[in-house]
Amino acid sequence: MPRADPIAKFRTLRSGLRLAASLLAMVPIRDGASALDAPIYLGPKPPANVRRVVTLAPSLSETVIALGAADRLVGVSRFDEFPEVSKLPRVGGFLDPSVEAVLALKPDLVLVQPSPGNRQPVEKMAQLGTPILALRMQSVAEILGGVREVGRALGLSDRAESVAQSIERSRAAIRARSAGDKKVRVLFVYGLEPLVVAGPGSFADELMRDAGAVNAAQNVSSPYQTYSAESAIRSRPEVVIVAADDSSGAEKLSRLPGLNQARWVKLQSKDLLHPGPSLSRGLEELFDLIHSTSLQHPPGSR
Amino acid sequence: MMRMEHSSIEVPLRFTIRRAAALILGLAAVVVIAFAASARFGEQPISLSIALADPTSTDAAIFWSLRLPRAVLAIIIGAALAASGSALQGLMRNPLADPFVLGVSGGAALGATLAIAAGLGSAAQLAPEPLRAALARLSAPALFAFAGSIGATALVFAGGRVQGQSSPYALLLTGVIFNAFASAAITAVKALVNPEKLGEILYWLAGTLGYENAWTLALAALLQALAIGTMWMNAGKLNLLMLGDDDAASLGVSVGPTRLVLLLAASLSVAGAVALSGLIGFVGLIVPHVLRLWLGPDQRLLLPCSAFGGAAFLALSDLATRMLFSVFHTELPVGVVTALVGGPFFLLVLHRRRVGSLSPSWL
Amino acid sequence: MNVLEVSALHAGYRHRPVLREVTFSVAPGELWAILGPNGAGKSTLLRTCLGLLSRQAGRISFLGKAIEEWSRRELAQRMAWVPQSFDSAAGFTGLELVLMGRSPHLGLWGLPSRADLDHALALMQDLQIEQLASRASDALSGGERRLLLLARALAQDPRILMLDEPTAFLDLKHQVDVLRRIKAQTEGGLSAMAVVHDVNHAMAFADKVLLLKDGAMLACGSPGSTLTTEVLERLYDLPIASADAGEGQKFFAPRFAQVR
Repeated sequence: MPRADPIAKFRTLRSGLRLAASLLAMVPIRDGASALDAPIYLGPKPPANVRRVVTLAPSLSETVIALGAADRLVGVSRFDEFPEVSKLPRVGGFLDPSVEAVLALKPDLVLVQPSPGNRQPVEKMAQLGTPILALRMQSVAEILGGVREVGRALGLSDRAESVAQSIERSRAAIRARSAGDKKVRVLFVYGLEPLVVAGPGSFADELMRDAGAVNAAQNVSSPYQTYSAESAIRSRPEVVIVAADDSSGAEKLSRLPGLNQARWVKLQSKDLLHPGPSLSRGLEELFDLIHSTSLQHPPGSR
Repeated sequence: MMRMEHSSIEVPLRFTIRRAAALILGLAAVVVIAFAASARFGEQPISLSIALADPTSTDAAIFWSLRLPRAVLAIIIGAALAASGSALQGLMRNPLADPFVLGVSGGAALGATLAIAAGLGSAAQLAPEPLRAALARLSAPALFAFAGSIGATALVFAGGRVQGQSSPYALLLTGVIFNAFASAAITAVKALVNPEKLGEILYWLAGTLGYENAWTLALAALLQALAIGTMWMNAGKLNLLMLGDDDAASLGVSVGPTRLVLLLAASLSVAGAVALSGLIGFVGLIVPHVLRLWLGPDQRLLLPCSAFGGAAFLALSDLATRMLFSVFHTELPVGVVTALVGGPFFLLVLHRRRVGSLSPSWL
Repeated sequence: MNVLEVSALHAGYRHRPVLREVTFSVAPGELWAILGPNGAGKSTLLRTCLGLLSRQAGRISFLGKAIEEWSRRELAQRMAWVPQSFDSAAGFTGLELVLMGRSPHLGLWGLPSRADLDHALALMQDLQIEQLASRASDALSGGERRLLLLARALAQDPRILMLDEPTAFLDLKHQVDVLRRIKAQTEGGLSAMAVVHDVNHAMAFADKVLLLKDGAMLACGSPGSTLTTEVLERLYDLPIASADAGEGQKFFAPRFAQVR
């Protein structure tokens, strides 16, 4: 699980720190990643008929909406922008949910993305009698598992199964379209100043493989890796996909030898940035960007 | 204030038991009001009668399990930061000293940053036993912050010794250098971690008040009672130390041991606060300063008044962050509010004092 | 019994020994003047006797007991220090500062009784500084600070006063005034050791003089017999003239014509 490892250099330090923490706290520290990968329930068991749902991340709201249960949502995070939830009360962010605001909505179920950052408030909610379902939604497998788990919790398993299968179908279709083609070397850029690229283990990396591309940034240790201009040249991309909001720094980079031969394209939607059930749309866009033959100028130039 | 006639001159005495008791009781009343407001009001409107009548209601859960513990925490942390700030300003003979001056901030931040970067602490199951729950809660950034601040203080003490004596100047310099070093190390870690952990680190560094369980709160209150009590007990000697080491010694103070006791008590107090709240700035700098302008420099009075003043200030600042939730849809870190409110308030007080001091009145 | 007995004292800083073989004893009611050029070790001698600096060799006995056997508090009840000035009084008022002199006699918190308060006020009135009682000490002149520090030391009810240049920062009138007050105190049985720079002050007020040069004693004894132009020329490496002012008063001054 490369995702769970922050940085290779920290591995030794991490085990040492963990040992120290175990000794000091006199409790066995569980491996965070293995506990987080599978969906887990905290607090009391949710009722059989869940009517009031609070979500703490847009991807989780999207999942509920995809299951046709938007009317059960009673509160969402402050980052949610879907029209279906625009009128709902905000209960804070992914890392800073307000326990008080969540409790006041008297939810039957709270959907959260687990993280060390929101552990304390989420545990508090569970402790005070709010059923919690913690789901990681970072990889395709986690998204599929999450859709099915939310479906089970909301009594919409059939609907969830069809959503999951449609995702699988569109992945298979995209894979089939690119099968046999030569693999395109793609550098996926999240940010330009500093340069941050998608490494192995990122959602974009997974979808690039489906779309018949090979991630040019292979020798990096983190899913969101800070990258040097030298490494970018050395990675010899054929296509550079810029997902940064502000692409003003692209012009300078795109003139560098090695990078000026690549085709520079700008990502239009945010489906590739926020893992969720809309990944089929993101995959379509990615395929088009990679396999488009029309010549595109680097964003920001001329 | 007691004024007594002594053969034609009027003598103002700023420290008398009666005046100290009156001021302390008055400030304690302010703390009670701040505490009550902090528990009564918040992000969501609640009904106190429902909360008190029906223990299973949501109102009861919000009142008993969220607001009360958080108000208690605000009071503990505020008292600790302001009291130790007052003591350290006296010990360092430097009005710019704050609770974090002895490397505590750097050590705590570095400890917490490493814990977060290493991915310690997870949203795993709650530990069943209350004791274990408290320890498990402290096991992540909090425990490392506490260890880091204690370690940093020990390092600064060792490094700040000149010819076997810990001089305030050398301590101050060593603390500043250690904080700069820790800040560089934190910048390095921040550059290496992924964005999610970076967000966590930044949030921790900003200073926030969370929800602690009763066991943790009791432990923190006990630690602070001991630390602040020790500082207050030695406040008379601290007054003499403020005049200079040789002056204090010639007036009967064993300078080395007294300073060590005061420094240890202050460091322990700050470490205990930082472990639970992160770095909440300004409380420890502003509260003793404002009170000094009002009450004078006498630590026998200033130290307990700072503790109460800091407690009230932080409880009200935290209330403000929670009331502002409906505006921002998130709680601003309470350290942001203390700085935004405390900075201008302090400048106002200082300005008015300067204007006022033109008229003949003693400080 | 002598108040203070110093024998074969060596003292100073770790890598810079200052005092060598200093021996003298102070009897009750004696006012001693310590004379010598800058850096001769005058302040070091005072600070060592106060226990603020540790000895390297020799013996200091105070009221018949070795100095290191006194606790800081017991010592402060019997020996008081008047430093040259204070850097900062941290915002304390004149009265608060003088009351701090009572703290060696008071409990942990230094709470003064009515009697302590009256004592402090009487001392301030005596030194004619009662108007400083409610003023912030940081805003005072050098001379006012000096008088406050003297009042603080007297509030300690000491057996001996250690004064570091008590006449510095004072005008001519106040110099004489302070010395006369100290002299009056010693006539009541208090002993005092004062670092002074003015030979004529020593001549006029001191019972004994101690001349220090390069950390060693050049001479020691009554001012009349010890202070001669020859000794003073050796002490300061300067041609010195003396003159008789009548009424038994003798003056010393550098021979300015030769110095120029």
